[in-house]
Amino acid sequence: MAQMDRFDGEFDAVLAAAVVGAPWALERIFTTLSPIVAGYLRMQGAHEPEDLTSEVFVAVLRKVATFRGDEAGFRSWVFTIAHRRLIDERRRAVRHSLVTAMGDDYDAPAPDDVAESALQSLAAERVRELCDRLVPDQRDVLLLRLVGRLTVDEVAATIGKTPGAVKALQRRGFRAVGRILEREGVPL
Amino acid sequence: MSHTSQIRRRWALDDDTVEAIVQGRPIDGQFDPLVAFARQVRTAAVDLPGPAPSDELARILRGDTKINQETHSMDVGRFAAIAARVASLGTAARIGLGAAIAAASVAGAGAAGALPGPANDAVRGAIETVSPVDFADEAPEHPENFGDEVSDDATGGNDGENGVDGQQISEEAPGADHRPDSAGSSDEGPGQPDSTGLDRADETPAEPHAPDSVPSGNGGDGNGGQPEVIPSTVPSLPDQSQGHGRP
Repeated sequence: MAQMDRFDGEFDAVLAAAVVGAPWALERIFTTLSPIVAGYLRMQGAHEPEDLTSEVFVAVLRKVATFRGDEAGFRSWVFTIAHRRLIDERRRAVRHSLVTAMGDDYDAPAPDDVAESALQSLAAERVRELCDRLVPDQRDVLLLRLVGRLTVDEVAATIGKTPGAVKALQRRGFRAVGRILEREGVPL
Repeated sequence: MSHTSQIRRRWALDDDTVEAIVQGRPIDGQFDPLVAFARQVRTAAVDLPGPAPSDELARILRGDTKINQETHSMDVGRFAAIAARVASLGTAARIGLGAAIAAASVAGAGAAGALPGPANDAVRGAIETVSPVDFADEAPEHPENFGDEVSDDATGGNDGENGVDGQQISEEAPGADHRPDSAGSSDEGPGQPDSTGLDRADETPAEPHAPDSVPSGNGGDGNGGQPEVIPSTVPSLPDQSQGHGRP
């Protein structure tokens, strides 16, 4: 996985403009990164993934002047904030006994092609269900690596574990997925 | 070998294979289901459009709310409210409030040891008199050479490995004859629910002896008592290839 530059090589210019509050730059950061952040939160079973995504970007844009680094570092920083907001939401949910099954409240946009969208939705639901069956630490690691495209070291910093522990968790997470797929024989 | 053991062995992954799956590099065909899973996760998460911003975020994006200023303005506003409230108090109340703030400040400084020696002792004595708090009189004493020498086991001076291989030590220790041949007995306690020794085992000198996973039973797959997979609450899809219920 080559590190993907989602800002088409313009990250430094976008960041510099965002720091001084240029609306176009703030919008660019939001439109570029919000789909993957929302996707990550959705796959994690966030209760209100869209609201939580907005919370994440309110925090990101308010603190953007404090960020130093490149595009990969920025993405990692955004996902660290997203992961912490997710944990906060889970704590709130426990306090308020809001136990919600993953993806219950997700409403996909109106599809242009109903049949294709239905297949995509089925696969997405299957993947979400698989992720839901993983041990939480394994799920965190796999989703941060696959969706956030964070490196092992970046994931370790995000979830507060050592790189060695992250490697062990991702090995076990993939093993668990492999066993589930083999036992149940349901293709993705 | 049981069917479960065969499944476990088939999905034994090393770090290079995992990295290839994550990065989408070609790998052995036996791992195709995991490659498909990784691809589907990315697709399911990323292929949807981003959500609409909340009202608060929309104001920031339009430039109606200046970033990096809200916290400052809130602090000023809060300070002004507190100042107005203090100003509304009577003279006696203001004196009482001032004395309470001063007392709390001195007590805090004394507890932290920030006051000069005699004052520090007086404040600590007062706190011990009126509360169950008991300050230790002296720091624990250590020999003059405390910390000067570090064990060769820890530095790797005796075997070139930092740290201690627990299995190696246990074989030299009294009672070694009574110990099991391998670690990871399923009779051991469940440990922490989301962290296990296996998570750290690869970082220790004992890594060559660490099991790939803890045997099933109490303790599960090394997830500290949690099952590695959680039973589904969603019924599996019917196998359409067999055409159940179709004409």
